[in-house]
Parts: sequence; C-alpha cells; structure tokens
Amino acid sequence: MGRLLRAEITKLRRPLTLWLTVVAAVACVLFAWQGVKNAAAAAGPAAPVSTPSPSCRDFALPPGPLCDRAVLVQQQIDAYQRQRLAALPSTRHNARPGDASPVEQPLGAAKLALGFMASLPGALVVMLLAAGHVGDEWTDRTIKAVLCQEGRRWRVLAAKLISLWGAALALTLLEWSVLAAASPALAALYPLPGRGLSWSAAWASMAADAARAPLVMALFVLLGVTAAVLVRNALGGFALAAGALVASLALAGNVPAVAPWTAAYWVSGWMQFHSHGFVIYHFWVDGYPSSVGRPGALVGGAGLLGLMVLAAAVAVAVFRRADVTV
Amino acid sequence: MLAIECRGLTKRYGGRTVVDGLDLAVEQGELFGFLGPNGSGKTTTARLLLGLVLADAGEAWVLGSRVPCPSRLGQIGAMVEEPAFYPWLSGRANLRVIGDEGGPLPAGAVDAALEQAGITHAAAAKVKTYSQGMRQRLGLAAAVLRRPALLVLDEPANGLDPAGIRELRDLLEGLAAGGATVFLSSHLLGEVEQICQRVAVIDHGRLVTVVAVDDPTNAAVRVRLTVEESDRAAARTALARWAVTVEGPGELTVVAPDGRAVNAALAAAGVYAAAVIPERLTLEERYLAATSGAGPS
Repeated sequence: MGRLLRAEITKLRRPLTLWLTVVAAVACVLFAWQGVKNAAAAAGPAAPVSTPSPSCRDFALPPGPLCDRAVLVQQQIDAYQRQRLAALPSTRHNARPGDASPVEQPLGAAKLALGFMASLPGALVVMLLAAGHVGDEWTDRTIKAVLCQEGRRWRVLAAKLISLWGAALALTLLEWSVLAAASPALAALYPLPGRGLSWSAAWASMAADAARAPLVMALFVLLGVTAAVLVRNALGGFALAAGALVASLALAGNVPAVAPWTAAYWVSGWMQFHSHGFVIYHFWVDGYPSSVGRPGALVGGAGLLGLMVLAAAVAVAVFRRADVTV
Repeated sequence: MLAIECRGLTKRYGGRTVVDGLDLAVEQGELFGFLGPNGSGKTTTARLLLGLVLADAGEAWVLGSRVPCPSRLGQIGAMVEEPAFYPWLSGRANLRVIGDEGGPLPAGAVDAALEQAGITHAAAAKVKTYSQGMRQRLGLAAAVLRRPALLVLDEPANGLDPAGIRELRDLLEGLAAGGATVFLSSHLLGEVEQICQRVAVIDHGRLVTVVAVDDPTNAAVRVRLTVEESDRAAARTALARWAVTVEGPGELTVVAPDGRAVNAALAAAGVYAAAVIPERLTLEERYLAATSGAGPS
C-alpha cells in the first residue's frame, strides 16, 4: 500500500493542486483581513459608543412628567438590551470586535483555516481535487494503466482516498501557516481592544475545530471520490458532488422536514458551527427553525459516519464491477 | 501450461454481444497475432484478459491463473489502444508511477525500459510535449517495464515511423527469444505476418480461424478450376461448403483447405475438372476470405 500511496501522491503534484492551494490560501487571507478590518472599525473611536437618548418627540408627547417617565423607561430598556447582547455569543446581528482576536494570533488563526476547510469552500476545493484525481483517470484514460498494474481495485480506491485526505489536511496546514504568518501584520494594522489572545486562549479557540474538521474533510473526500467513480468523468464528478452538497445546504436551511437528514445538518452539528460575527469562520448553514433545533455534536458525528460508510460502500461496489472501456 | 486460454469467453455491452463464445489457446513463448475488422472484439478481448472488463460468460486463464487475476498482473505487460499518461509528469516519472502501482520493480528497470523503447532522450520531458510516436514508445516502455512473461499489445505500431516499427519488431522478437509470450493485436497484416508465428482471426466477436503463418499444410489455398460449362452448376453444388467465385465460363475459384479436397468433392459429385490449380493464399487473402471480405481494422 505504501508504494501505491506514493504513486497517488506523485500524481497529486499537478497544476490543479497548485492553483487550488494558491486560491484557497489567498481567500483565507482576504477573509481574515476583511474580518479584522471590520472588527477594528467597529471598535474604533468613530463607532457609536451609545444609543442616542430618546426624546419627547420620539414618543409624540409634550414635555412634562409623562414624557420624562417614558424616556426613563426607554433608557432602562436600552440598558437592559445592551447588557443582554453583551452576554450573548457574537453573531452576525450582534458582532463584537473580540470575535476577530483569534485571527490576530498565530495559533488562533488555525480556527479560520479549519472552519474554511470544513465548510463549503473546503468542500469545493476537496471535491475539485477528487474530481481531478479520480475522474481524470477516466477522462485521460489512465485508469487502464493503473488497473493493469494493480488489479485489486479496492486498494486503488483506498490509496486515492487516503492521498486526497492527506492533501486536504496538508492544505489546511498550509492555509494555517499563511494565516499565522499574516497574523502579526493584521494585528499591527488593525489593533483590537484588549491585550490580544493568550496562547492558551488561542488553543482553546481552535482545539475543538482541529479535532473535528479532519472527519468533515474525510466526508468531503469520500463524496467527491464516490461521485467521480459513479460518473467516471472529472467535470461530471465535481458537478454531482458539489451539486449534492449545495442541495443538502439548501434543504437544511429551507425545508425543516428534511433538514435533520441532510449532510449539511450533520456537519453543522459535528463542527458546532454558530453564527459568526466580524470574521467569517465558516460558510455553512448555522441557523435552524425552532421546530428542527440546533444539531448536537453526537448526532452530527453519527450522521457523518453513517454517510461515510454508505458512500464508501457505493464507491467500492461500483468501482469493483466497473468495466474499463476508455 | 498455456500462456492464454479462453473457453466460451463472452462479453456483452447492453444487448450487443462484442465477444461471442471465444475459444483461444496461446502457447508460452509464442508470437501470436490477433486480427479482425473494426468492432470485431479484439480490444475487448485484450481488456477481458487483463481484467479491465468482466466477462458475462465463459472463462479465461492467463499464465495458468483464471482471469481476473491481480496476482499475475506483475508478469503481464500491456498496452491497450493508445497509451495514456499523466501529462504533467515526465516520461521517467510516469514510468516510476506505473512501477509504484504494481509490485516491486527490478533494479534499473525504468532506465532499461526507456532504453528498450528508444525514448531515453525524452525521459526528462513532460509527457504533454510528446508526439504520438513518443507516447507510443513510452507505452511500450511501460509494457516491458517488469520484463513480463506475457505481453498483451493492442495496435502497438500506431503512430510509429518505419524505423520505430522496425525497432518494435526487433523488440518483440527479442522478448519472444527470451521466453516471453506476445499477444499482438494489430491492423497491420504485413506486420503480423512478419512478426507472428500464428494468427487468430476474429469477426463479430467470434473466432473465425487460427492459422500458422509459415505452415503450408495448415494454410488455406485458392484453387482455380476449369470445368465444362454444363457442369458448372453441379460443381458449385458440390463445392458449396467453401467460398466459390465464378470467374468466367467454366472458370471457378474455390478457397479451401487444399486442392485434393476440392478434387475429391468434385469427383464424388461426378464432375471431372479439366484443370485444378492450387495457389497458396497470402495472409491478407486468407484474412479477407475469413472475414467475408471485410477490410482489416
């Protein structure tokens, strides 16, 4: 298996991989830059620091005791709202500058790389790689040369899966490295309030994602490889895998009845994706109607594993019986 | 032990039978040709032998193992139709990848294969810059990489210049002299006739005939007959089991195993020919006769 894996890794050293790596790394840096820029702007002196006080005109009341009472009550309501929002997680409706602080710390920057690769951009990158790595064997007719050397087809498939998963992990590390290198510059350009994230706090911010994201990337690899094996064509394989994933996201976000049975729901549960603030840490559905509820990590993990087993079984069954006529 | 054996090998795509009950036996160390018109099932037979497609019925053995036989692939070199490579890798890197995909390679195998195929000078260049002939040579290098006991080659001379075809012939003869079996599917009848010892002709997926190229006793002949014009109809009836062509008044041509059989059939029908002239058929004529005049693929 080692030699077969070496062959697959050699084949992955191709222009497609290089360009996807460059695009993914640049995209990560751009999202980090935009996020900290917005966060710094929100935290800066130009930002409104308090809600303007209500006036009698706002209540259509003449000045007097009744208006004074209305203004006081409104001020109490505003203060309560500010206090409540400060206690809630940072979301797109309640973004706090502090949520950008991991991006300005080399270790914490991994959170963005991991979220990126475990959500839609990562899925598209991995599925493009899988389409090229597996589908192109048919498109370029090289599959016959492969199977004339190694007739145990499940081994060929396993080597492709492992090499692609390894490539996805390597890509994540590379993105993290680029973000880590950029983090001091971002911190200098867009300082955020406070002393910045400590190493232990940075670790806490990304450790869970680091533990969970590899499983999601493995799912993306399996879906991409299975689609390529079914369609036996690079473009068609990518279209099928990406189309299925986008359909899953659309169903999860819009059709409560089927949402709990979608890959999108399981990924969001396993990764514990929450709504983001200034920095977009993931591109995935993270809000569900109350009738569906937020998925738990256990449900998400079980769903992912079940889907992976199903995809692997389909890929092996189809590939073992496939006539190679190219 | 036979190098290749097929018994009732059958392959269907949809409702179309591409290989239809093929029986074949190729001895070890033999240079065996495989001829047939377009769509006759030659390439599908090669794919069946290599386990690239699965048979719907029948069985095949290569080097004594029943197909599909992944454990035997290390002893089989193959080139099916136009060889395909990873265009972004060099010729040498492509051979290394092919080597890594199979079992361990003998030391220096990549360089030796490049040398044998005459492509050493371009080994460092990316395959996307190769001409068709260079790709074909690299395909041959890949096929001989493991110094195989059996070579299955489908149209290996495609895209080769005359010098390349000559080198191919020398290479295959050298391999056969070393004990390797060569199963050569080609549309170049002259090439097959020069290289191979025996030739199988396949048409519509069925084996039509197997002939020994240099064995006159096993070769069909064309027999030119002269009979009385009044006996022509009786002669045609008597010779109905063979292909008979009327050349002129009282002049017939029969393609049959030998002149003696023709003469005997005529005598049995009470027809006595004025002349019975057997002529040995070329491989091309035998091929055309066997495939009902269809052009070679």
